[in-house]
Amino acid sequence: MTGYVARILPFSAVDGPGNRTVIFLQGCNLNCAYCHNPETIALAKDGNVPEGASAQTVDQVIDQVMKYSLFISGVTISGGECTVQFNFLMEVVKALKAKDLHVLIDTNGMVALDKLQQLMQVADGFMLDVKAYGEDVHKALTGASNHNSKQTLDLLLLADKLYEARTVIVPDLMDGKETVTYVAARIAAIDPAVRYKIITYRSHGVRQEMKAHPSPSVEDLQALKAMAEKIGCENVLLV
Amino acid sequence: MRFVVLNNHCREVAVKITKIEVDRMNVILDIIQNQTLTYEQKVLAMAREAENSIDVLSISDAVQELRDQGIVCDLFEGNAPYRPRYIVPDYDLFMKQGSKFLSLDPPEDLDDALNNLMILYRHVPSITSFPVYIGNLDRLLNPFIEDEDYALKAIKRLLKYIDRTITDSFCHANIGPEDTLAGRLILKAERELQNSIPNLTMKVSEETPDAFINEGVQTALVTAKPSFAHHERFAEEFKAGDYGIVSCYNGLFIGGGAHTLVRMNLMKLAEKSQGLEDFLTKELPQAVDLMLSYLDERVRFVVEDSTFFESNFLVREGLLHKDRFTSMFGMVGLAETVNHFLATDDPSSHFGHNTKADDLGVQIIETIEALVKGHKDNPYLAVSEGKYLLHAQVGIDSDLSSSPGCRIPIGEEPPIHDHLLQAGRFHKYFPSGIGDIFKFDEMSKKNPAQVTDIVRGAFKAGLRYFSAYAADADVIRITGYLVKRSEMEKLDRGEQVLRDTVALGLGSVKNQKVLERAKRDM
Repeated sequence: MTGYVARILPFSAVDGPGNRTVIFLQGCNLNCAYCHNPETIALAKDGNVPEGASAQTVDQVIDQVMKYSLFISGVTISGGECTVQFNFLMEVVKALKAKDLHVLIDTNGMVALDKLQQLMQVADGFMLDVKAYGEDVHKALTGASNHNSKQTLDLLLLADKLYEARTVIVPDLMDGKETVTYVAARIAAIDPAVRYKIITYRSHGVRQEMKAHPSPSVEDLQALKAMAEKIGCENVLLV
Repeated sequence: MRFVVLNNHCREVAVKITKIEVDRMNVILDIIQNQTLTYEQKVLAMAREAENSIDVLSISDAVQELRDQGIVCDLFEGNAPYRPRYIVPDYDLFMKQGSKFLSLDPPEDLDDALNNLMILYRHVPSITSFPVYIGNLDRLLNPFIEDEDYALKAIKRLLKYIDRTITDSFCHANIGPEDTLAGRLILKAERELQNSIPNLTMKVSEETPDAFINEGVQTALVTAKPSFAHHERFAEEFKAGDYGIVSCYNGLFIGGGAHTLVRMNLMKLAEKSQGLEDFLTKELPQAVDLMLSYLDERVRFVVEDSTFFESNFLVREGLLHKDRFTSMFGMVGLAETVNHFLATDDPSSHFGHNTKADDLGVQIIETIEALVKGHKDNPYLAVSEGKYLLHAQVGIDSDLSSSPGCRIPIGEEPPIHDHLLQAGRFHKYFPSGIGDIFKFDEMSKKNPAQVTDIVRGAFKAGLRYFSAYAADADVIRITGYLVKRSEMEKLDRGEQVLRDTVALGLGSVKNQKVLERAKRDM
């Protein structure tokens, strides 16, 4: 089976526990205003591979990962949005598990829930990006509804499969307080030890029209962290 | 004044001797008047001159020629080795029995233990006249720790004392492989102090908990130590006793050490050879044989003529044993040698980037290993079965076109995973020391487990010794020893610095591009 790979990063310090190889799959079902990797959004159509990406078989992907396997705690599959290539993703995860590697899926939670259930059967854990609480805000920010994303959060928490939830705080484009309150409450209610990473929006790497958009203040971020902790989250991290 | 009547021949000899004496006088006067040397550095420099004023070793013309060509180098050991180069006292025994000669009882509490060690350190000789090994410190101190806060303060005082009085970066402490409170306190103290001395190694085994290694990584990223040693590998190779990691990264027997280390500059030998065949079948065997004869002579003098083993109290009290000493056959410049014979400007064909080049590297090292093992047994190396141990030497500050040991040259480093797999092919040949150094991005400090994964993987890939520091650290690893960047800047401005190894570091920065080591972005 062939899939579209944006790139494979041999070692990463910021994509899960320990040292990890990260497979970035090409194509995304959202179009976030602040996307830092807009080149990974385009989908491959009719055999046309977007610039910078490559068509690879499952075996080719696994062969590359195995070059790094001595030195890593596991593999994180990201994107784009990796669940967009669901069938390829499933095969890659199964092949990695057959090599006894720890596998995390980094997702925006938009995947259909039956597919999510299938992934939960094979992957060790998930990193979930919760972009905004309000549906209209989510639509404005990403171009799509966030209905699935909230259910995904609960399903992963209940199944003890959520390694980390994340929210990028972008002043003016979303209500940080509202979103953090929601996510923190779900984590606190189901599994307070799960890490919640509150991420500062930075203009580095974003599209031109977002370059001038301000980052949140340190004080605002610290207030969000304190709020999440007050709600009952035990492991809140500002980045 | 004496009046002597000289014939012409005698007059010539006298003039020659007088010239040497005048030269030496000038050198000594230069040392006395040198304003960048501390008092202690002057005394040691003059002692070296005194030692070098006599010729007591029997050195053949052929060996001398190799020395003159810089192919064989004894690393400034001096003309009359009056003590073994590396001395590795049995500090565990010292803690049990105290010392009759020093009038010290065995320690009863932490203060006693630290004080006894500080006293003994002043009496442990070596090539540098400072101890190159100061013990598996956690093992020595852990039994005495009762109050954690007090112990941390006391350990910091000890480490500060070492940094300010043992002013030479080849002084080396060990911790691990067990996770102990003392070990954690030593790491915490070093993280806070950020001293360049002592050098520090954490022995890592399969059983060493990741949490303890993470502590080590956090310290290393801040202050370039500890390095990590593959415990199972060293323990297996030194199973005739216990081992310590000494000086730069040398594995040696505790209660013993190494009489001498002489190194061969492979690149200089390669340049003299008529092609690869000539190098492998003629020049290398001849040079190895001559260097072994030189090593034999230096070992002989230390053991038979220096009286060290008859007169030193460390031997008398059982902290050293003549039969736990071995000696080291060193080499530098493998990368340049391989590239020289492949004669290509294409970087993808170079050592570290190409299987054919790396295979040739292995072939050269295996040739040296076979020649060294084939040398007649030396009775003074009984603990290593009569043979010299191979050592990948880290170079000297004046080396220009020879990388340390088997290292890939700075500026040509491949991606870290390829680098580790390549280095893993060479480490097994060098029980008495080899190591690779990796400079990490500051981001790694937020996820030390990442570097722990890399250390564990490195050992699986065949490495025995792994060093790391973060790009923004002031203390950096030069080749095998540590120096503060800020101290080198002081010396470069002509200011006096306390530690003699700062000068070596500055030389290496200028000649071997140490500050340009590849940063591993992740």
